[in-house]
Amino acid sequence: MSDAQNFPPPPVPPPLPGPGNGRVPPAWEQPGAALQRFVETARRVLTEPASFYKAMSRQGGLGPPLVFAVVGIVVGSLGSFLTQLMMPFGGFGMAHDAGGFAAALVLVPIISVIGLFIGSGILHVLLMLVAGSKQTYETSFRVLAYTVGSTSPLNIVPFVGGIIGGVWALVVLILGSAEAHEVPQGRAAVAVLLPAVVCCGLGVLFGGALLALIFGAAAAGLAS
Amino acid sequence: VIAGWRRLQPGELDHERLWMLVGIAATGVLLALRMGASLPPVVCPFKLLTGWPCVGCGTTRAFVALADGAVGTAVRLNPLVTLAAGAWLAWAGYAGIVLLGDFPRLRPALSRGTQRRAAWTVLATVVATWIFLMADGR
Repeated sequence: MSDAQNFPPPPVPPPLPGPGNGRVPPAWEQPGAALQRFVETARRVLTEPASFYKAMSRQGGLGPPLVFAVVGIVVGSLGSFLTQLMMPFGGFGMAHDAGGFAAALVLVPIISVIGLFIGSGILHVLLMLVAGSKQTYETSFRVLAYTVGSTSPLNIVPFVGGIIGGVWALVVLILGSAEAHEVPQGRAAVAVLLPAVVCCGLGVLFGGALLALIFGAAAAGLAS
Repeated sequence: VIAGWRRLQPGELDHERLWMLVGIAATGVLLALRMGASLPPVVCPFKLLTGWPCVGCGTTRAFVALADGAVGTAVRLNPLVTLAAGAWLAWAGYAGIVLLGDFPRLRPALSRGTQRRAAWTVLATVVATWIFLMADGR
């Protein structure tokens, strides 16, 4: 018996996941005008989430999706602030408090970035534990970042934008996680919804409804 | 569990650096908020709707207590968050050492059975925290 039969080959580090399997970088990561790339990517995420994430490459760095998400969040936050200002009965206290608004303007992007990293970490761990995903953290981060960046601008729509964006973000996140991680949709749904149900994520679902209730109450108060 | 130590491959995500930076940034924001920047109070929609605390209730106050060095208070406010903060501190110690020394990184490989046991442990910890918060009368 030769030595080659007695000893297994030495272990090699696992290969990095490549863009193979027909996966390509999204429009945001390709050359072109930034506004056009943002709109095209957001449109595809919102209207064809399954095919977008099925075709999305799982590598390409954290930077481009991070920038996309921050742009979307800032656009959504600023747009929401401006639409609140234009309401006949005014906005929330924070919108009318210049100091609070300035603090929020600085803190929102920073907290969003931190939240994206931690949120995708939680999502990734749950996808590994619940769905047995073999993909990397980068895949989870890209799914969450493109979802958040695309749905956040919906906050601009008065009253219902928040709740529509929140619910659609959950739908997109489930479809995106299933396609990008190549796991069953049911298990992806458990991984996405578990933290949403257990830990205040209901705010995503009910925040918009509460907003509408508060605005409705304010409008009713002014009318009486 | 196979605990493997290896060098990062070119282009591989550096988790030690990433989570160290995220932790430092989060701590910075927490301290900035503690030092006077004002944000609206966090309203838990789950508690608002059901009257019960969610498993994340007390997170902000627990972090503030930790920033003040009141670990006991933080445990009482939310044991899960305090545990997570402790885990991050341990991670930061490890990450600091391997980053400064340019040492190989720990990359454990978990079997499917270990993953399943880990999932049940996480679930049990979350449920235990939730029961504690409800029993504590939040």
